[in-house]
Amino acid sequence: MKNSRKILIGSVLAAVIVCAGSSIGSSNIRIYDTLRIIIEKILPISLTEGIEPRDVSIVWLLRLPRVLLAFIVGGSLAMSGAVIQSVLKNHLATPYILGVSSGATLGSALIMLTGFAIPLVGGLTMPVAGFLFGLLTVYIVVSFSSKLDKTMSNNTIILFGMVFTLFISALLTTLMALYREELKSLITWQMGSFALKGWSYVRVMLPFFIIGTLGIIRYTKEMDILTFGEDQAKSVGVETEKVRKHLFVFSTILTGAAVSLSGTIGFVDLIAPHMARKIVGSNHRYVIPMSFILGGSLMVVADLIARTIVSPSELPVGAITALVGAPFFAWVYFGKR
Amino acid sequence: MTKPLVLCILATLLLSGCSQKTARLLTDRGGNTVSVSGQINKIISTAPSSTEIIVDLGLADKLVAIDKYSLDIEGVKQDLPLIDFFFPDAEAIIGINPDIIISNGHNNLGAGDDPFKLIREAGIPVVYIPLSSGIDGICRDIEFVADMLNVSERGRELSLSMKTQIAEIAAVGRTIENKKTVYFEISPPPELVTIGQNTYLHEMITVIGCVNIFADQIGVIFPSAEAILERNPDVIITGLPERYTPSEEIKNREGFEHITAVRNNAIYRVDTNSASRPSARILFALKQMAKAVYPDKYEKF
Repeated sequence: MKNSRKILIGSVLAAVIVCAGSSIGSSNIRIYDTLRIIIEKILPISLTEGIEPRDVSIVWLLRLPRVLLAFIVGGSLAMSGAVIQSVLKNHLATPYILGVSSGATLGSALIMLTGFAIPLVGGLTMPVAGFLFGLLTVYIVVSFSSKLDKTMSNNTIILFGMVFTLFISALLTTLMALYREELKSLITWQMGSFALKGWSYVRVMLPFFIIGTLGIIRYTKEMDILTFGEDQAKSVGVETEKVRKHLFVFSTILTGAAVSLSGTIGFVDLIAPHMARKIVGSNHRYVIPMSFILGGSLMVVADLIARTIVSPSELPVGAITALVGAPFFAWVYFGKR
Repeated sequence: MTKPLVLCILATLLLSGCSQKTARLLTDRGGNTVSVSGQINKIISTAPSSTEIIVDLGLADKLVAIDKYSLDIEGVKQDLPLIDFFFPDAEAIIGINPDIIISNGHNNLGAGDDPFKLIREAGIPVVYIPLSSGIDGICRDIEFVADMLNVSERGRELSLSMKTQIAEIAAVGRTIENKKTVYFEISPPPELVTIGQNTYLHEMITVIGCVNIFADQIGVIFPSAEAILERNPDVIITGLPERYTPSEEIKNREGFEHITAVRNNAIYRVDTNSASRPSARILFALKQMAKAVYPDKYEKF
């Protein structure tokens, strides 16, 4: 099958998953009614006769924004996972390994604790801080590894990234110990959740998502070439340093914003690109959109499980992605060899 | 040679006999046996609920150290040493040399990480009061503390007066037809927290003649916003301090505008401390709740 057709099928499936995600919950609303509610809200026609206003607000104000946010966050994490894996030529690499996530977590935690708002950006303070700290972390990791190893081999970057991630975790632990009052809210936030995140969160995430995605799509060809190796890439005229730097920045925009809005949610950035490559091969023109579709869908399903498995209570979605993700990863990795 | 030995043994027996006379064996509220010797004059309280009970028993002057949340309780000396009981400083506590430590639900015994292990080994008795699951349990907590501190009579009076007042409220509560449904919010987003059965707050909701929308759940739960919308409470009660303007926040929460309580502006606040501390002072929160939900029924309270 052609790759473009696979992506089309994937998109349709993703749309079905989004619809299902918006109709299943502690109160089940029929998919047909859900669609009527969504269409009425988007188009200027009246379709919701006979549907309780309570169900309308459940679908439109609670579930749909939550499902969309989960999709965008999952997709963003998956895309930046695909980018980092290709740039570092290591299929086990994720934004976490470069310290983006821990940096973003530290930034967001500082904002949470101090209540500080960056002038001009206001409501965007959390994602901006997440992005800035994520970027700062990547910058430190990359510049230190280049000092340590002039050729900046990928192993050096990965190792230094892991060391630095541990260092930031220690800073975060210290912070938590100093602010024990806020310990619970920090831990809750870290576990990752889409609960009670309405349209405002979707609106905040969108600009970061668009900038990051457009930036990454520009470099799909270069990513293909980078996969063959640095020298090869240089010989065909790719400015590897510059491309790498840009790709780091764009994936940091995606991960930083995602982490600061929804907490640290693992495994999606590792699994989705893997599955995408199994389905569409290694051409990044297809890997990136497919990663987005798969990452988004996985996150919506994980969130669906998180909010229904012990209904009326909710579990943190980060726990579900890790619980489902780790065995799933093992299955994908060993089962299909 | 044998004479001094016999004398020695006799002396030891006598001495131990003496100390046994003053030592008492207590079974604490967690079911642990604790040996306490002599008069209890120096008490360390690790939670505001215990501090409130001690103050209500008229023994505030026996407190020698408290947790920082106990500081705002009227009648507590403001210069007492404050101890962090999530991570208790064993040296500081042993330095104070109290006659007893009253430890609470958050200092779990027998779970392998008893924070008072060292202190216990140093010979300081520690009694344990787990979080009671109902009002009756709170009364027994009060009586236990009173018995331990040799003021049994005062303890029984306190618990009896509490029971009588609650019974009066419950008598009115039972007459209420079309009981209103209640959602009690302990914590706001990002993580909603409320209670189901087997909690004193659930019992309080029932006593005033209301129905907890999460009565089918047990203990502390973390509900989804959807579940609250679906169960559509007539009344929302929040225990959050006023400085967070909880009523405003609930009203403006996305999707909540269709909840009957929000539509009818039936969002009430109860005193945070009275609602969250299992002592006789829950009565204050109980009366607040009763008057807020059914003002005409509870006029005289």
